[in-house]
Amino acid sequence: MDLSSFREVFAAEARDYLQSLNEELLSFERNPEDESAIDNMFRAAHSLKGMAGTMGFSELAEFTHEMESVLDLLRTGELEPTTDVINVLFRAVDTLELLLDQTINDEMISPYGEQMAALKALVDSPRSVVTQTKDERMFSAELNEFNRETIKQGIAQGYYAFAVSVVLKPNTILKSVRVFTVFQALEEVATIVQSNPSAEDLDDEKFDRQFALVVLTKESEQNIRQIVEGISEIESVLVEEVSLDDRPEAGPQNASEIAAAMDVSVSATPVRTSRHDPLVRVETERLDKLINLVGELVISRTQVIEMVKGGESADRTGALDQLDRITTELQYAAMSLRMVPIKQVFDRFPRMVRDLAQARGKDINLKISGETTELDRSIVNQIGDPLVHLIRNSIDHGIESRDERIANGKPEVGTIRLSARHEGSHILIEISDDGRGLDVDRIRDKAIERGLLPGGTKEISMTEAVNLLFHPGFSTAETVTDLSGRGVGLDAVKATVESLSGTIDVESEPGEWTRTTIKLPLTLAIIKALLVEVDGETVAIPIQAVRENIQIEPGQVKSIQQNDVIMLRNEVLPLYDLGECLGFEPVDRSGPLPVIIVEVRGEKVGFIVEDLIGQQEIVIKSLSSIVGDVKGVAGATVLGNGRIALIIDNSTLIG
Amino acid sequence: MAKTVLITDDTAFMRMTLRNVIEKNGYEVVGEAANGEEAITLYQELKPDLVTMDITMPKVDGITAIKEIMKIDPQAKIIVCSAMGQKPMVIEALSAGAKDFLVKPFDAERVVESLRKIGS
Repeated sequence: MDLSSFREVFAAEARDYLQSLNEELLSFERNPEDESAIDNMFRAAHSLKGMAGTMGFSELAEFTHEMESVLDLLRTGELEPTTDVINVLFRAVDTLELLLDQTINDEMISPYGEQMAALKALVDSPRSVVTQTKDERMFSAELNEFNRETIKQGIAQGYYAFAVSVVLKPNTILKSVRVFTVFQALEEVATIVQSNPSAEDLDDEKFDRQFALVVLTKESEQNIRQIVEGISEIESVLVEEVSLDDRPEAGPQNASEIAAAMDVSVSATPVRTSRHDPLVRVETERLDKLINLVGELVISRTQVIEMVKGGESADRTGALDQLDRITTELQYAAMSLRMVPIKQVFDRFPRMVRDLAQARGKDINLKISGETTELDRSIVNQIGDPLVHLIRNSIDHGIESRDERIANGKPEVGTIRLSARHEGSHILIEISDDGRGLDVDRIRDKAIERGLLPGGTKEISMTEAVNLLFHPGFSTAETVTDLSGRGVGLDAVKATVESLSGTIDVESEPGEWTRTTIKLPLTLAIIKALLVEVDGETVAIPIQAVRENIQIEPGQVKSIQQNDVIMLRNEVLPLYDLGECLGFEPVDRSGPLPVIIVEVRGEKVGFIVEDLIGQQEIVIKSLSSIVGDVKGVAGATVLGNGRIALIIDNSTLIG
Repeated sequence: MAKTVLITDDTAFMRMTLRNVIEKNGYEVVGEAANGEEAITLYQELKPDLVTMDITMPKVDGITAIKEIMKIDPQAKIIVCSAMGQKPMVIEALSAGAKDFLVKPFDAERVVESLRKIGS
């Protein structure tokens, strides 16, 4: 069968199983008594094997099979779940992930012999089975003395005695079970007196394709044949009456000929497409709702058409209200299709924390909550790396060694909490640890060393310390190891968060805990913006970046080294003309000037604008590729009046 | 009229491949169950001519489901689906009343043979 169209479904589902293997392995490691974890793992490996086999992905199937064997031994208790065993399994999952990706993308399969051997070693270790090499029994249907007697009596009581010779199809899988079905079917109408090979050998599959039974029955020869023929995977059946002077027929002579004539079908290699995760999973409920709304929209359209035609009966307000309601709902329904649970990102952390903690020789418990919180797909795709960064920091620098924790009277096992929750139109992601907290003095020393603070600076506040951490000049890669505080590229984390229109904040109690909070908008497609006017054009500033709006007199603009500045509550802020920044005419400075205070790369900056228009939700449209990336412009939006407004990218607006 | 089939498997992928084979061969797939529990419910609802039943499934496994369905309808025609190495369970399923068994990976011809033989 051609399965190429199922590749994507296969890939998506296979990834789910790998994820579940990872998760269950973690929970199994924590609690080896947990039978459900091992059962779930076994089931996942098992399903994966079946799927891979069906797709003809032999490497995957083969590898999963080996993994399943190990899991089975764990399940039956024949194998002890030592750390070594668990590690082999974790590596096996990694190998599977790699194999899956390479298989799906039609890439070269990298060697996995080592992992395979590791699994095999586990399978072989607990019970070094000596494979029995019993010589193949010759097929013979000679009745023994006891059975002869039984048959004799049977015949005397009006039964027929038949020798039933059966040949299975080539490539019959689970031959013994097939034999069992034959037994089962015959036993409904007959008594099986003898079998050749013996029942035991049949059960152990110590036969090729042919076996014979002697049965006592009241059914006719033909009925018996039909019963056996009605069973799957039977190539031929021969039923002959047994005369006690005779040996039963040893099966059809031409069995091998039949086998040779059997067409060995070679399955065609499926046509392969290589695309990466083009599938999106959406709850059917959400799709149904969308379809419903579109249905309502169609009705509403009719009403509006009526209204425009000016029919007397047309209910104008009603029709427009209806349209308004439907489009709003439609907007939310469509948006909800983009929403995915943050679980997708969180799921990788238990494993990461486990591996890293093990490598660092620390005991760390990761507690995750709120993983069902949903946010925009595009944000989910980008937030992973910053979170990895922060969690790594917690493991590397936050959580102390076991000895240090005991010495400080803390619980031996450190805890990292990762949580997500909604707050208004935002999602809050918190990463906290009960480690040593931020060492303000160290941060100060390092900042002085880096020239970020004047030498001899004594006290700095926690807030200042945090700001320094996010400063691009604060940390560089080569200092990661010799600094036992935080600061591993936190500026990169901040940049990513800000590019997602989010904010990041760190709080800490030295010696006790550290908590990083990331606040992100639920979606990037629709944002709240402050609309302002410059040079007769409307410009949208994402509200996220706006700190405040003030009004100044032209005289308040001061100049330092030919640059405009203003004083705001004893702070000197650089002042720019938004019109000029965007290449429009500068704002006329004859009257009072509205100034928007915007945060640009962590610094407050003032922008003079012509006029304030107000706050509004806008839909972000990216600029056409013909225009390309324009410095300072994040995109454009269509306003209610049909005009287009540019959306400011505050991070690149000024150089 | 085409014989009706209820597919039971916990993986959507397996259900799809089975459906593909089954429908191509003139049977009508009237339902898909993702576990034994669903299979029992759907069996009563849909009264299919044939049922394919995976063994290892969450919630209610295939063997339990076979037993339950056989209680509801002793005439039920259930084909148990297993992977290699599940012999004891296949035997158990057959003893519980399954009429035939299929081994994954499925061979289309085998699937059809089984449906034909068990369905007749």
